[in-house]
Amino acid sequence: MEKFLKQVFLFVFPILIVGYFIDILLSDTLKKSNSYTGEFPTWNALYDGKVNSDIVICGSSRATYHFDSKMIESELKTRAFNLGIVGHSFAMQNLRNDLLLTNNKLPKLLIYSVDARTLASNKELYNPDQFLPYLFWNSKLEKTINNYDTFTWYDYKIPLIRFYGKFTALKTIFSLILHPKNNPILRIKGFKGNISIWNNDFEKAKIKLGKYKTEINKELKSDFENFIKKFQLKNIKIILIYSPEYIDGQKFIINRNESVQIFKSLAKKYNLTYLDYATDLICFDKKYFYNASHLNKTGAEFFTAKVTDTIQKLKILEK
Amino acid sequence: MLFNSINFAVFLIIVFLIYWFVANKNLKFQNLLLLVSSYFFYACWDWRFLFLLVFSTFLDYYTGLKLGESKNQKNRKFWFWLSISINLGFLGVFKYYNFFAETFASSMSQFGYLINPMLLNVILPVGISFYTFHGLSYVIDIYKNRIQAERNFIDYSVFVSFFPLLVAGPIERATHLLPQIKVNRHFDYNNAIDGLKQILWGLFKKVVIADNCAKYANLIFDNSDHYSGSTLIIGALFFTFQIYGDFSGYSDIAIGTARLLGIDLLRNFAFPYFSRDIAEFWRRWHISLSSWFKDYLYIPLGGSNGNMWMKIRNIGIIFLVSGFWHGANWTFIVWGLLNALYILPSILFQTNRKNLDIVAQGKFLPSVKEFCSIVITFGLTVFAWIFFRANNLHHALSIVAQIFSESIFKIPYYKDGTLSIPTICLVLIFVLIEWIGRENQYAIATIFSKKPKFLRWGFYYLILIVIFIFAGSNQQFIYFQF
Repeated sequence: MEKFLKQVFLFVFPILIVGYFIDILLSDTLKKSNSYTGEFPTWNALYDGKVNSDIVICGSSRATYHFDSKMIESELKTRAFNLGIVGHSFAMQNLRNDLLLTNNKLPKLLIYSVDARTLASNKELYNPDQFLPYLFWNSKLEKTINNYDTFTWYDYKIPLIRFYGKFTALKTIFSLILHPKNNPILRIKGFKGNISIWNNDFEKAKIKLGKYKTEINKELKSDFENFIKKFQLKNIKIILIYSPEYIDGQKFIINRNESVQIFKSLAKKYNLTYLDYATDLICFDKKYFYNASHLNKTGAEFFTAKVTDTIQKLKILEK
Repeated sequence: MLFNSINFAVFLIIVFLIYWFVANKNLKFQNLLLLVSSYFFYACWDWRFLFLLVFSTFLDYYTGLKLGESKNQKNRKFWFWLSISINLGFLGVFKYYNFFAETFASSMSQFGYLINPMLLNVILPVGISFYTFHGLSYVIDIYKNRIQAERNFIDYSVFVSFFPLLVAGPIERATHLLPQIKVNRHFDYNNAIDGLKQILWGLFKKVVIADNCAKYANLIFDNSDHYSGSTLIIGALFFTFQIYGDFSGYSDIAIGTARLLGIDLLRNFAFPYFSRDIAEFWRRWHISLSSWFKDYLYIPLGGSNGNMWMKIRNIGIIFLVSGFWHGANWTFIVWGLLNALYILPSILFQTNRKNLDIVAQGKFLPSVKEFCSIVITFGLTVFAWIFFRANNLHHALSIVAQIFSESIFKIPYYKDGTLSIPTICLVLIFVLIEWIGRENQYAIATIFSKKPKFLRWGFYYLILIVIFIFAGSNQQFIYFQF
């Protein structure tokens, strides 16, 4: 028995030791990747305290694709960063808000991109590989994504386990090690301009789902309110923006108006500026969209210009 | 708790340490530990069905005692049929009731009688077919005076519920397993190391081969209408390796785990895809079930004795029951009957025991004749798996029709086809290793065994790395549903 245990120990021990260092190597390499809808640079900026901007944009993919940070910078002559996260509602967005507060220089203005899905909870963890480099012994992240079945306790606590069977992530890592230059930049300061033209996603979704109803999560609603309070306490101005959706798409979510009313009432309650672009001319022209809820690059530039113009007119930064 | 989960690894480490360090000196304690851990293992699937397992165990234990005590043949018959009826009754209710009710209703509708059958909304208790067969073999063996009834309930319960074999076999016999439970087990270094190697190889088969093949097999079978005959053949090949990797991988992990605890389980697979005829295939595929049917059904029916019609009848029955054992679906029945058709000529012409040795023993390559036999047998097996995998008979027949159409000459194409290239390469490497190791209990048993330690360990580390990188998305073991 003693011999057996000794042999097993000798076999396993190097795995544990080497595993720890391989974990670091894999995590550090994956962090450098611009793949996975380009989320890594944003996470890196948040964790490393490099957001360092006076204007920060938050929200889902509709933030990522709609608010051109570089354009905001040049129009408003101040630094801007887009923290939009693709495929996630406020539960994950709020983690980014938290990291912004704890790890970074506080912004002066927070532009919050809200929509009918902001307060809905996601059933599945979208794009889970984006969390791989940051999961190890990260209690904040663990708490946020613990509700999903995607990762287990072992993934958070034992080196390497979370990379087990993650072939796509490992392939990305190996290709980065072998060809570090083959890593095209997808986002600039968090903004991702999509050059596509209108596709048939919306038509497909209409056929598949008919009408769609989002379930507003009460807990998320209360978290959203707490977030407003927390940021206001730090003297950070917040504006809520319902950015453009293609006009036909607005009918797709049957309780869309319920969400609009929630954000309007929150804006009123906490004295926030609420800008609704639902009836803006942009919403009637497919050339600005690549699907019903996302603007393409042309649309995003046109829309960002409108937003910066409004911010200037309302002198929000000067208040 | 899947065998390929970390939870199982933690569970096994805890059981192993208590078993050899705390309970080492006390056989009763060791057996009690095995029973408690087996029930815990089973409860992790669904604790509600634990009661069914305990009841089934108690029923056969008690019946065994009564059979042992009774001198009167009438009484013995009563207890025997009581146990058989209740055991098969459970299987019937949980596994076959809905099938029979629906089939009856659909048959009646052919005659113009519309019946709305009352269906049961129950899930199939995991492992029910396996532990029921454990119990059945025990009761039959006592009835036939092959063994004595076991008086110790704990020992008997361990025989039925021993966690490595509880949910998907191998289907053990009381004559093989019970004596091992009754004697002191001593830790054997070589046996334990061998067990670990077998677990490693089983893991590779399951998570690398089966789970990756499953992805493409599911894709092609679930969208079979959109694919050409040539692509459907690729799909059938993926399933062929999926089911082998899945079930033989499970069996390897089960056998390896039991060896760590000083218990030898029956061998379940012996490189079946290298068989030269179907009779050999059935001596090498799911051996514990095939031999169960042979001993408890085929031989009592007369086996290969008797006239031609008796032989045909017996083969038909055994494969029909075997197909039906897998599940309540016509696809399994046709799969069984197809295999009966395959094997029948060899039974009738008494060539079924032609290939009892290991193919190309002592040589690296088979002869041309052997190679052709292997390819033909493999092809027949792949064809039969189409019925096993299809959702229903109509689905299976549409796949077969598509395969035997002009589209068989089209270049195979399926979604993410290029992404399947690593899987295909891994399957080819796997087949090569299995071929090299075909003279052993499992493929890697002796690979590098006489080489220096660094080479041997390097090979095991390499397997671990491949498992780590290429592990497919976690799939339930196929045989859990049976």
